[in-house]
Amino acid sequence: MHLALYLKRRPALKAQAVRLLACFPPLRHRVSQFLEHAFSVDAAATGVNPEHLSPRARQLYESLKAEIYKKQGSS
Amino acid sequence: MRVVLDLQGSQTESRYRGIGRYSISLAQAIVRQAGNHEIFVVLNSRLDDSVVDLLQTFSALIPEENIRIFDVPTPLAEDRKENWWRNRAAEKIREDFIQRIKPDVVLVTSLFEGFSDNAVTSIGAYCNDKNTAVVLYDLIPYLNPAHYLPTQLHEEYYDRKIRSLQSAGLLLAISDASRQEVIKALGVEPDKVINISAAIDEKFGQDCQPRGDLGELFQQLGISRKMVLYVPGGFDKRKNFEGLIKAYSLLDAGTRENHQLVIASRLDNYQRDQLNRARIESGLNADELVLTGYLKDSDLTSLYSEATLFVFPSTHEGFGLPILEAMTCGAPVIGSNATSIPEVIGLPDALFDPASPSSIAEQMQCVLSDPVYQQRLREHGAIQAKKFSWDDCAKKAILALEDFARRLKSPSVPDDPETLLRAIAEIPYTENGPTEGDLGAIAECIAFNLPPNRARELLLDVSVIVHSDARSGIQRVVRSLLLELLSHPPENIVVRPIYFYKGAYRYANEFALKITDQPIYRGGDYVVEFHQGDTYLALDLLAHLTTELQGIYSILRRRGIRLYFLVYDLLLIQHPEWWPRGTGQAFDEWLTSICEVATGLMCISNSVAAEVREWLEKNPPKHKKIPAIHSFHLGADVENSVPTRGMPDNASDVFETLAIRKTFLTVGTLEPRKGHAQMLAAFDQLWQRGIDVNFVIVGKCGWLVDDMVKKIRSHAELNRRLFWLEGISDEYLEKIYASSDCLIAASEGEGFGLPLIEAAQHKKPIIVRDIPVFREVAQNHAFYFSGTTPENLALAIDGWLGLCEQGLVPSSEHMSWLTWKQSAALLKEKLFPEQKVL
Repeated sequence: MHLALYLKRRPALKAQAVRLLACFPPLRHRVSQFLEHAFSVDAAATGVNPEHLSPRARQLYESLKAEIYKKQGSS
Repeated sequence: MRVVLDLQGSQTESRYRGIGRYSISLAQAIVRQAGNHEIFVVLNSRLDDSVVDLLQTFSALIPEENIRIFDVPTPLAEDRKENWWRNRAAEKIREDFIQRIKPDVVLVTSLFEGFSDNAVTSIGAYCNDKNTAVVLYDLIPYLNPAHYLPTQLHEEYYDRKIRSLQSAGLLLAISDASRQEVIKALGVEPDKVINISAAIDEKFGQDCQPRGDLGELFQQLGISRKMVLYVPGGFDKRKNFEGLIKAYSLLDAGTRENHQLVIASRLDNYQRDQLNRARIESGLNADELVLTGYLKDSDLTSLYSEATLFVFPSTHEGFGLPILEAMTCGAPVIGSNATSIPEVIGLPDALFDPASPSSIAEQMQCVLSDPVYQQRLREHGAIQAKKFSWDDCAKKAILALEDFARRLKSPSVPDDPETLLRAIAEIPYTENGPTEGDLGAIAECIAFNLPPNRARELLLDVSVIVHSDARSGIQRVVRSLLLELLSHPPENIVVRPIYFYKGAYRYANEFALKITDQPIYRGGDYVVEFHQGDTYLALDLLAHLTTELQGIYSILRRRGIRLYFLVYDLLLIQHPEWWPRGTGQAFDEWLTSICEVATGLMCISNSVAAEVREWLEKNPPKHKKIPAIHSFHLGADVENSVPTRGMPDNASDVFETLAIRKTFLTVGTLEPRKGHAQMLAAFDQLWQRGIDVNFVIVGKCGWLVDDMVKKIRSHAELNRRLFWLEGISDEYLEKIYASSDCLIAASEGEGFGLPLIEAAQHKKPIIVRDIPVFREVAQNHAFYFSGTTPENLALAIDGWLGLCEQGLVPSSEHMSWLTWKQSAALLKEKLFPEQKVL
C-alpha cells in the first residue's frame, strides 16, 4: 500500500519505472500491472462505462443497443 | 396476499415532512397488522443514505429478503428536461422490478415524488399494473395551480402524476375530505377511494403534563403570558396566518393583555418578515406575537400542554396532524370548518369560518373567556384523539387491499428482460438522450435488479496482494484468512476474492486458481456483479485507493451490500512521523472515508478496537451513524499461512554461532516504531559490560532507518554476536526461533504482535515493551519493560538474565493463541452472526 501510494503521488516515476522494467522482462508484466492498479482512477460519473459492466450487464447493454439501432433503422 | 410497499416517500425530502412520517408509520403498522399476508418493502438505491436507515428499521420487522432495493440510472429529477429520457426509462425499470416480486397488490405511499430528486414513481409506464394502490394526501396543487405550479415544468410534471393517479386501481385517502376531493375533482369512481385516515405516533405527548409555570424554555422563546397556539405544519397561503393575526387583533383588550399569539413553525427570514408585517398591519404590539422557529418534539409537546387555546385556521388540509397532537397533549382545540379539519376535530361547536377573521375571533373569545368551555374542549379532545391510531389506519388499508386484490387479475409480466429493453428502446429520443453512458447505466441497473444468477457471495478485497505479495505482516494476514475462508466458507455463501482494477471490481479468479482448483474460478477475471445481500470485506489496506473507491463504496452501501473493513492499527494516525511524509494523511483520509460507509470495522485486537472507538468519538461520520466495531485475534500457525521455503548456504554456520551463547531474537521490518535503535544500543552497552550474548535481527529493511542500517552494516560485532537476517523464508525463521533463547519485542506500537505468539509456540520466553496490545496478547506470560533509552532496555535484559539463572523468568508456554482456522471462524461469526460457526 505504501509503495502504491508513493508512486501514485509521483506520476513521473511511473514512466521511469516502466523504462527501467524494460531491462527485466520477467518482472515487467507483474510490476506494470501493479502500477496500472496504483494509477487507475474512476471518477463518479452519471453514466457507466460499458467496459465496467459484468458479463450479464454487458449482454443487456449489447441487446439494448441492438434494439435502439433496430428502432432507429425502422423510423 | 403479497403486498409490496413502495416507500420512496420515506426516502426523499418528504421524509422530513408529514408525508414521509405518514409513509413510514403506515408501513410499520401494516407490517404489525399483516397477519398471514406477506409484506415486501421496496426502496430506491439512489436516494442518499435513507436506504440504509430504512433497511435497519424494517429488517427488525420483516425478513431481510423481503426488503428489496432497486437501482435506476440517474439523475432523474424532472425539473430538468435533459433528464426526461432517463426518467422514462427509469419508470419502466422500476415497474419491471416491482412486478418481478409478483405482488398481489402494490401500495405506493407517495406518488408525487421525483420533481427535484431521484425518486421514480409511475403507474402503467411499462406493465399493465392495475394492481397498484396509492396513498392520496390531497389535491392542493391541482386545485390551486396558480400558487403551487408556478412553471410549465411544474405543470407538466404534476399532470403526469395526476394521470398516474387516475390509473391506480385503488386510492387510500388520508381523510374523508381528501376522498371527496378526488372524487369531485378528478371524477374517480367512489368505490375506488377508501378513507383510511391518519394518526400520530403513539409515543407523541406520552409524558406531557401541564407544569403550571412557563419555565426556562418559555423565557427563551419570549413567552411570558398565557398562550394562544398555532402549529401550522408548513408555511403557505392556505395556512391563513394573516386571517389568524387579524382575528387575534379583534379580541377584546383585556383578553389580549393576558395572552400572546404563539406560532410554532420553522420559518426563514422572509417568512418572519411577512408575519411581522401582518402583525403591524393588524395593530398588534411586538410582544403579542411570538414566532418560535423550529422546535424539537419535546419542546413542542410542552407548548401544546401549556396552551390555553390551540387554534387551527388553515383553509385547506389533507388531514391536519397538529390538531391531533394538540388534543393528545390536552390543549383545548378549535379550528376552521374547511376540508378535513371538521372530521379531525369532531365537534361542530368548535369550528369557525377561516375566511372570516371575525368568525375566528368570536370562537377564540368564547374559549378564552370561558374556563368551563375550555375544560369541555379538553375533555372532548382527549376522547377524540383516541379515535385515531396507526393500527386502525393499517387495518382499514389491509381490508381495502384485500378487497382490491380479490377483484384483480394477476398482471401479465414478461419474464425476459428483452421485453423491457425493447420498451426502453421505444422511448422517443430527446436532444439529450440517451448517451452511451446512459445505456451502460441502464444495463447495470437492470442486471442488479434482476434476481441474482448465483448464491450470496462473500467478496474479499485483495486488491494489493493480487498484484504483488510483498510478504509484509498485513499480506501474511490477507493470505492466511483468504486461504481459510476459501477452504471453509460460511454456510450457503460463496467466497470470492476480488480486486479493483481500471475503474471496476473484478473477480480475482486467476489468483484464486493458484490457491484452489475449483470450477467457479475458471473463466478469467471479469467484472463483479454485486447484489443485495452480498458481503464485502476489505482484507487488504487500500488507503492508496480512497479517492477511487469512496464513490463505489457509497453505491454498494445503498444497494444493500454489507461493507466490512479490517483495521490493523491506527499507528499511521497516532504516529505519522514513523512513516514517509503523506502516508499518515492518506490513512486518515481512508479511515474517515470508510467510516462513512462501513457496516462494520473488524479490528485485529481489543486494543485496536478501543482506539478506533476513541477516534470515532472525536471524528464521527458526517451521517452520524457509527459503524459496528468488532475485534478478533489473528491466527499464528505458520504452516497454515502458506509459508515460504528455502535455507541460505550459510545457515549451518549461523546455527553453530547461535548455539555458543544465549541468543536474543527480534522479528519485524526495520522501521522507526519497532525499537531496533534502542535494542542495538542496549546490546552495545551489554557487550561493553562483558555480557556475552547474541542479538539476531530478522526483518527486511523498511523506511526512515538509513542511519541505523549503516550502523548495523558497519558494526564490529556483525556476524560475530550481531546478526541481521533480511527477508528470510518462513522455514528459516522457524529454525532461528528454535535456536534462540528469548524474543525481544520493543515495538512502540502494534496492532497485534504476531512474533509474541510465534515465540510462545517455540516455548521461548519473551521480553516485551509494556503497551496495551502486548498485555492483551501475552498477559502474564512475558517479562515487561518500559522506557525508551538504551539503559532502560539494557537493565531489563540484565534483570531478565538474572531471573533466568534462577529459573524464574515468566514462561510463554501457556500463552493462548489461535490457529488461522479459529481466527477465520471468529471473523465469520462477526460477519454472519446469524450463522452458527463451529
